[in-house]
Amino acid sequence: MKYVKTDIAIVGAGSAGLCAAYQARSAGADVLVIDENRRPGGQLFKQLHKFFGSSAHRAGTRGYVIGRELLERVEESGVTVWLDSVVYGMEKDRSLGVIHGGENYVVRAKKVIVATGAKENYMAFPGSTLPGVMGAGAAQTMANINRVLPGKRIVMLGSGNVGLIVSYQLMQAGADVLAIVEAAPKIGGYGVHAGKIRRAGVPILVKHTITRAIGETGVEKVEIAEVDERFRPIPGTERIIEADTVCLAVGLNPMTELLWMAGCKFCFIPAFGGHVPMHDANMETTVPGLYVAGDVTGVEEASSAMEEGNLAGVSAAASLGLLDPEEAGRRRGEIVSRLDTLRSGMFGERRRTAKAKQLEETAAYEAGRRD
Amino acid sequence: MMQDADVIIIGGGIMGCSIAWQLCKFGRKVLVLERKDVAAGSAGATDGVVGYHTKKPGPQMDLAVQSIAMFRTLADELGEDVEFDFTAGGMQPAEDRMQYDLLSEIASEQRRSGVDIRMISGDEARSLEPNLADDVYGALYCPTSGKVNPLKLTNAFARAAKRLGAVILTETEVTGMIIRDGAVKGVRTGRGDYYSDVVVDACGSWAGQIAKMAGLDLPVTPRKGQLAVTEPVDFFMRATVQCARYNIIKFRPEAVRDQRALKLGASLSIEQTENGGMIIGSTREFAGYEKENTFEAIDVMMKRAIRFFPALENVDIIRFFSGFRPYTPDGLPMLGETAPLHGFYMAAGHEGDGIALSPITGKLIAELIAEGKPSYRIDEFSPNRFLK
Repeated sequence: MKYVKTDIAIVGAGSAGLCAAYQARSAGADVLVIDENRRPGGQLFKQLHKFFGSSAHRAGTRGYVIGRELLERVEESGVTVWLDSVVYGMEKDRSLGVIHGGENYVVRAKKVIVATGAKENYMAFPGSTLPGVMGAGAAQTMANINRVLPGKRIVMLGSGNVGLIVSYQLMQAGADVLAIVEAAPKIGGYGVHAGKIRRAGVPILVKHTITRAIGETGVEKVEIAEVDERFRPIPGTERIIEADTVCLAVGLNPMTELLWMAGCKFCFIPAFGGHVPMHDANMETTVPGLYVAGDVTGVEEASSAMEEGNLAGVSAAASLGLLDPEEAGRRRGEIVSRLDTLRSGMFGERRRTAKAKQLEETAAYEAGRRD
Repeated sequence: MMQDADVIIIGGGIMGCSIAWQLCKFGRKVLVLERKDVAAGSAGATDGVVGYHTKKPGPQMDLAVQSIAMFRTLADELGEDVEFDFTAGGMQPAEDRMQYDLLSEIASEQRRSGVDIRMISGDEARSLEPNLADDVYGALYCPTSGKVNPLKLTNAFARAAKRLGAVILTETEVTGMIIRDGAVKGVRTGRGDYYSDVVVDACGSWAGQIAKMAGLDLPVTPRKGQLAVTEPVDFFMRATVQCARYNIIKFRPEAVRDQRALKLGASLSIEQTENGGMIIGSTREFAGYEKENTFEAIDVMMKRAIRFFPALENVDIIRFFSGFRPYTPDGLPMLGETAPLHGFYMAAGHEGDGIALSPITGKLIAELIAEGKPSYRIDEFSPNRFLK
């Protein structure tokens, strides 16, 4: 077992982790970023579509371009990146157990930032374990990263932005999307994405669900049905679609295992995907010296993840005395105002309320602990 | 005073549930008070070795012989499968001549209790367990040692007891003892008082804390054992295997030279469960009630596992956990009534032998309470040896 010391260790080299790394390194910290994937960038390199928002958030730029630029900046800044390296545990003193290059390491950092992102939810139905049923994110990785088409005839479950965007990208890659099935009475994602899908002739079937997948060694047919207002399938409305692939885009949940292990306190916010770690305005959890950023704090989107990464990076560096308090405060102020912009408007409002609740619950917990 | 039960048993672990079942067979009205849930303590955080060869020679071994004999008919009596495999065999591979000789010495003492514990060559060991490393020097082997699923066994004891009328109250924490004129009269709990003239402390690693409520200073100390579980794999091994260091640390600690292993009490203990997953342990650490897994212990344990079973290098670990083993200074459990407090019985302190010794402990304590005398002499295990 080998021991490694660093100022700041960051788990996850996605949107949030890379931004945190860049900020912390720019402030002069020794930074080690650890990621289990062979390539850095998290989900960014899968995003072939253009981002929304203000010019500060690179609206109109495609996700993978943003990822490439971010990665270049991080690499030039002198951050150490361990890829293909699994963080398998965290002890109470925040030291990390890491398998890197086939060796067992213990990484001891003065500050740790967890930016592990989120994982896809699954939905069980008869036949849901057949080969050919997969998460929409998995299908996106196959098509956009590995350049392998997951199937030819696809049924997508879920009409949120993930369901809509992945459907469109699978069509661009040459697959037929036969239907997008949505249990809710209206489409979940942005109208602009839904419009593109509909113009291409793909039906979006609201108030519908998948009742089973049928096949011997893989998906051959998919049975869908209408649902009532309590989401129960209505007998007699079943129909069969001849498909070889089912993609599930039914939400995400934060990957919080390391934080539970470290003893962080959590609160429950359904809008953020379930249990999320309590953290303060500096992104510090209830375990001193342990910070969080990105989807692990609650599922949002890439731009918010990057800004939370910036915030955690600045805060962690400042707490090490690498930034003078005034400068740190100024930078934090800028980041927070950009985050507020991202969490505004019709779609951002719900996330803004959820984040406010998370901060409030954290403050209440900390106040209780001081008493 | 109105009696809530003939006997109150504190602790819904493997001991408490075994005693409850046996007392019910005597027609006694039994109340079990459990702070968390059945098998929430050590019985739910251990492997299932039911072996002779890991027992201390002498009275402990004699007790094990009787207990393991009971296992043969246990599933039938309890009315459910507890995954008991009584011919799995128990093996302790030795790395070199020195370990082999130490094991031989211990084995010859163990054989005095009439059990079949033999020394075999490296080739014989590998023919029994083909995944064993090529350079194993030899091994201690006990063909009649077995394994069981301790969670299923504890729950089976509990269900059998309940069928015979026992009441098991979970999430009921004992907070104090009701004592009058040098005799126990009942217990206080977070849910009110319960009265009985007989109270059994079957709280495993927490037994010392309960004894303290009764004004007794009994040295039961939690000893942490860390373990790993692998993904389920095809058939890999049948015997339960402990490296030679297991018995050497237990019975001849002065012979261990690896300081890190000695500090952690680390030796290999490995078995494959019925679903294919392997349980790999373990350590024996004094760390209070701190139950965290540590990178240091994981490193030592995993290296040790691969040293004896190189193929494990390619098997994924899915979880680490730990449990407390109730340690006593002389390595023997405390069984019987305490002299200073009439009606207060101890049934705790089995350290790593609790699963194997649970049937006999239940039987003897029940006989002692119901008939005033157990069918087998247990004076060596009297808690009064620490109360002079």
